[in-house]
Amino acid sequence: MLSIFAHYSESFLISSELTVNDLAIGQHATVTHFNDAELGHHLMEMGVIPGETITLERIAPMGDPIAVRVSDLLLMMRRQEASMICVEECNVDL
Amino acid sequence: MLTSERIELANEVLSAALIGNPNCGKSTLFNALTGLNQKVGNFPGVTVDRKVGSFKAGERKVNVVDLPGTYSLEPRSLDERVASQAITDPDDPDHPDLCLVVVDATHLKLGLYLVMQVLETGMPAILVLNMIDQLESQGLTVDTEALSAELSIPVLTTNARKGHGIEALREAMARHGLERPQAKWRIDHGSDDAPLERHAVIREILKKVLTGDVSLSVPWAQRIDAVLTHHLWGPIIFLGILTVVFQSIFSWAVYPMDWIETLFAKGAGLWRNVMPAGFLTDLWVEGIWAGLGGVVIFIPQIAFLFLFVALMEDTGYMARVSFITDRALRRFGLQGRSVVPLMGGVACAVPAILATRTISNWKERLITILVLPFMTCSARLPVYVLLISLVIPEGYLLGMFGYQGLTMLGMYVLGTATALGAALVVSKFIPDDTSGHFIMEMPVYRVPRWGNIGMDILRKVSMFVTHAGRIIVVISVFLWLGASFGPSEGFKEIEQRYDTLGNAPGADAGELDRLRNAELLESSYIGMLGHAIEPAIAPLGYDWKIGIALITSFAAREVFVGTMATIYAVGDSDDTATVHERMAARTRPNSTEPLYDLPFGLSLLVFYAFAMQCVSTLAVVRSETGSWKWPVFQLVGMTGFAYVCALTVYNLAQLLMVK
Repeated sequence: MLSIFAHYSESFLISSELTVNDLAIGQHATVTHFNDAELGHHLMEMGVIPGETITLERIAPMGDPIAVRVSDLLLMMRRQEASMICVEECNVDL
Repeated sequence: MLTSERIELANEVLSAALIGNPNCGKSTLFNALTGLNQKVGNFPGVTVDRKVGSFKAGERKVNVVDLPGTYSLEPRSLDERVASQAITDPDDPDHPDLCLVVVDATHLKLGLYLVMQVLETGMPAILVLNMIDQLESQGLTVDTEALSAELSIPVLTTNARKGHGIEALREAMARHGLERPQAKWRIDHGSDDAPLERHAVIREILKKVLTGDVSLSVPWAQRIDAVLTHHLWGPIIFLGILTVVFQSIFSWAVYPMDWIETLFAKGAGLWRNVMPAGFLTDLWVEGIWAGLGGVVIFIPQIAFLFLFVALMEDTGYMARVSFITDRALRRFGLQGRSVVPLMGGVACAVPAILATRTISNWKERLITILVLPFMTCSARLPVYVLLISLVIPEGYLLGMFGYQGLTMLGMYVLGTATALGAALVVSKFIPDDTSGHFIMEMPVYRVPRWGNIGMDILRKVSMFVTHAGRIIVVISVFLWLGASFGPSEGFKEIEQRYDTLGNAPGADAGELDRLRNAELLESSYIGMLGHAIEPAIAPLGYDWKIGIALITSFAAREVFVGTMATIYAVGDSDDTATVHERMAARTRPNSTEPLYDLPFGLSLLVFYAFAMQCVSTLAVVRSETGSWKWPVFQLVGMTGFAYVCALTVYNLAQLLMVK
């Protein structure tokens, strides 16, 4: 639990940007950019590209990792990676 | 469109490679194309399954290799590197004449990304749209002709599961002129924006070829996920499944294992009848034949474990296991896919180590392999039973928990805790050659493809027999030679003495035989080795008899009991009670105190818990890591650790006993 807390506070220190970690289950958002170029490259190859809608679908029993849906793909990633995906709120109905 | 540079086939054999995303149905397609005409090996330098097969496409003979699944030609893991290198490096032994890029039609966007990368290399290619019916059931249709025109390569649709489209694919391969495709798009490969550019192209293509109403959400899959990854039900269901897996290799596999044992015992009797008595017959029956039996005996457990692993992978459940266990295992350098092999290690490390192939990250796989032998395997059980009954008093803690049972439970806890602790330690020293990111697709749930699973089991078994099996047979033969032979004078003297005794009137032939065998073992090469290591193991509380048993234990740990039976001239090696009796009756020289006392017992329990004493495991680690480096590391590291721990426990226990 402590490490999750430390991780959250760290991401607050960097900026007040909204990331995938700030989403609630079922909430949609639009990907804006990545805070880690290499990870971003990897994610973009898998179709997670700026402008796409991302949905937080599930959170693992221990709070980490999480599963997000981007177009037709369900991806699991750790909180660490999710904190690198910046998003803005959107109001879409899927 | 298809006019451009053509590649001439060097010979009449066309080499093709299957490449595609994980879970795109590539393996099913491979099986459908090649049938049983396939074999499995390793890609050079890495132990990633390399499946090759061949078939006829018209007049052409086609050799096809199934490359590991990948999302991109820019590799992030060992598996992906193998795939991308085969495509991009013309000098790679698996570099094909023709690429079959397999795309899951329901994940068209993701699949087309890889298609574009392959076409950008200029490889002749065919696009295989697999699982097309599933896309159609979602209300979408793909205009394959338009797609073919956009990409300038042939596009075929298949349903590999049902065998649809396989013949047409063969024909297309027979006809293919091996033209290099000319990509219609330009991508700046060095740029960070290359993925964006490709996705922009894909969006344009999809607009032209995809029609229909999208009904994307699959509510029933989400509902299954809601249960299987639930914070309470998820772990409970997983534990339930683990119990069944464990039950299968611990209990069900015992029946076929008994049949195999009986079969080999009958076979040995048969050989003895038809072959003349002599050294060669002994070598064949007791050395090689018994060694083969020692290999075949593993097959039921391997088959059962792989049945479940393949089933969990094929249905998509394994990804959910990773999901719910990742947080707990990450700190140990392990991941969700390590759980099933570790659990399997409680039955036997050999099938469990083979099962680690399901872990695609090499570092996590290596850590799992390295610490697996610490898990309390079933071969340790007879040793523990004997030692616990020998030194742990009967009686109950708080009137309900038997000391002996608690000790047994403690041994299981000790094994598991040590495995996790060891994982924590070695994970600090093994470099991670991937990006370290943990991003995985959670595939949709699918009905298992029994044909694939059957083939998978068959491949694993044949690979085990041909790779690790050879090593096991060779080492068992050496162990047999060492235990059955010794310096000839000593052996002759013993034989002569017992022959004379046997001729005496009223001699008990059975008892004499047992005593003779005990003396022969003591003066054999392994017996001499046991004596030789006595100074080294004396500080742990062991004598030369235990020394001999430690060495013979390398064949399999439970041999300890059989060896003690031989040394103490007990007729039936399964007769643990009698071995116990004889060992308990031993006293220290000039004293009435038992030789095998509590400090001795605890020390030996700890030694058996930690020491790497199993040639079969070493052989499998050799074949699964591709080098002797890791089994030697295990042998030295684990046995050294066992020695230090046993030494500590022995001395501590003695100190406490005196007080």
